[in-house]
Amino acid sequence: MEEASVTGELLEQEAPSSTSGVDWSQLPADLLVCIFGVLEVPDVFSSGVVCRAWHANFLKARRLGICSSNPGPCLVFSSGDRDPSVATLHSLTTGKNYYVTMPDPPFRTRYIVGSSHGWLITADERSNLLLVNPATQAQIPMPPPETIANVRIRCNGEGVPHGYDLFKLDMSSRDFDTETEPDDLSWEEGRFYFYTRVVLSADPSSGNCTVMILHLLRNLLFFARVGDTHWTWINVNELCWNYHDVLYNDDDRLFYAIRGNGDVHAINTNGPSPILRVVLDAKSSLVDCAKYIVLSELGDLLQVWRYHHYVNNNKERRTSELVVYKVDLVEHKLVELKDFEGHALFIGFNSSFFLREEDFPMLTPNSVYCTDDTVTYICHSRFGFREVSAFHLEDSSFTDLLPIGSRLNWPPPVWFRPSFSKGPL
Amino acid sequence: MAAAAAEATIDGGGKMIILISADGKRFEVTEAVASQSQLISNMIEDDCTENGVRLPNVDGDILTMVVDYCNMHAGDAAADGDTTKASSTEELKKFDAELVQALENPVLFKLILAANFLNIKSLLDMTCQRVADMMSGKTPEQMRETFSIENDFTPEEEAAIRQENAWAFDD
Repeated sequence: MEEASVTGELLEQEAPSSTSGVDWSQLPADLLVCIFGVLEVPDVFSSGVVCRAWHANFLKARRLGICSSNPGPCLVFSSGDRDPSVATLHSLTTGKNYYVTMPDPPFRTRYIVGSSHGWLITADERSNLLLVNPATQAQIPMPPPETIANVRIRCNGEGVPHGYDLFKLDMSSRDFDTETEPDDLSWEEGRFYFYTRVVLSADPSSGNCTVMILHLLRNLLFFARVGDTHWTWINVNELCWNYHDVLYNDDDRLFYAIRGNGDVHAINTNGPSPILRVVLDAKSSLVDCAKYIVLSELGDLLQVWRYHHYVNNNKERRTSELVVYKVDLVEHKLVELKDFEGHALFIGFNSSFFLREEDFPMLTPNSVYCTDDTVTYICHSRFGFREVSAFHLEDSSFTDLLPIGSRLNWPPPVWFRPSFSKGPL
Repeated sequence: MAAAAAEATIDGGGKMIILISADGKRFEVTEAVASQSQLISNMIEDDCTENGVRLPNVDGDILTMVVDYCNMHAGDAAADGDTTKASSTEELKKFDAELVQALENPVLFKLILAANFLNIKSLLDMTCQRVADMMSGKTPEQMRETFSIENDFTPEEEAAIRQENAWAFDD
């Protein structure tokens, strides 16, 4: 930059601009916004602090939701050496930590139950579901738990509300089981029962987002649109229970849910009442493992079967094995998959996603990056060990992705891809 | 067309166009090569390239790079005919990678402006990506250093912006 210009003639030619002819702070706005379009959210924030001119363009980019449409993966957690309101985002792309001050209630009081479309899905200490975008700081509340069919507010002897009653739902009558005494849950405990998995159909700020929740006891599904006043139970038939995981497919606008026995149901929530179609009747007996349903880049449905075991004097619950199957929709069977063709898969509370090693060379291809999402274990051992690891399909080995700085075990760490974007992610 | 006589032709029969840089350097290229610039493509359609195209805000050394780039990529744009010019995908990748890797201040800055002015989308995307790569994972201080930008905030202003961002960076 400091190179002296050689001749008077050159100086004359370049007179209108600075001596070197280059002033990056004066990069035209449309070009800087163009560059923001391929930057990750943390880098967009950094560039907004560089100088006045860039700051003005940063504000524009943030307002328009401009950033990379293919953001890299971050692990979100709470750091012991930071304020309770701060969420730490550890970027696997840069290996750096970013500290985001989140809107109230404090981050460390929340339970993280999901992430997708650049939003974190959290539950507060009264078990209300709150969607929050760390990049825009926007926050959207969902209908309260007492609007779920089998949840009531419980009052004590003096008539003062003090928690939730959770009734069993009977699948043959598809109604409450009033014969059995309901479970008595504290305000705070409810969240472990109400939200085993939460999936969004779209960016919740887009105006047309359906939120699907997986609800404990019998692993039932409920849904509500952003702005709705209550949750709607999906009880199309007597098989609508024992779900393990859900995904939303943007191409056919259907939710796909996997049951504990490997069955796959397609659920259409776009009409006046939900419609269910059995995509795969697995006909298998119950295998005791956590099952995930994942959509590949080519649009294939995959199942991930995750087995756990206790190690280290029963102090740590870890994944012992992962088996991936492709759902063969023609033969109606599962075919084991040993190769992701250069992709890495991310599972846990997050809505599962694949990333290409080509785009993110720091990832190990044909690997499953996992976080701990076993609700019963987390609920009973809240501050206990939380697994964060990568499983390699080729040799069935694990790499621990621990520890990262002063990471706390609460709230449970979750994979997350920050974004301002209103587009599909 | 009478004016055609004033324009050179090559073996393939494609019309030639003269591009003239800010410092008066002249570049003779085929229409197919030049048309990758949306700006020049529009000028060709409007029949106003006969006396050469003056590019008063593109220096000769930058225009040399742009012309090299367009020559290499002419195969993409002109799918028919002139197969001799079409480069293989492998070659192109190598060429682009080497070009991008070599880009440094201040050439990168000037090349972005040229790609923007000439409206060559692929070159603009490539150069913007290069800038993004140079920004990736950097703190504001490191970005200022990379691009020699002076911090024109007062300390109070900068503190206020960092506060408002709610995003702090690992140094």
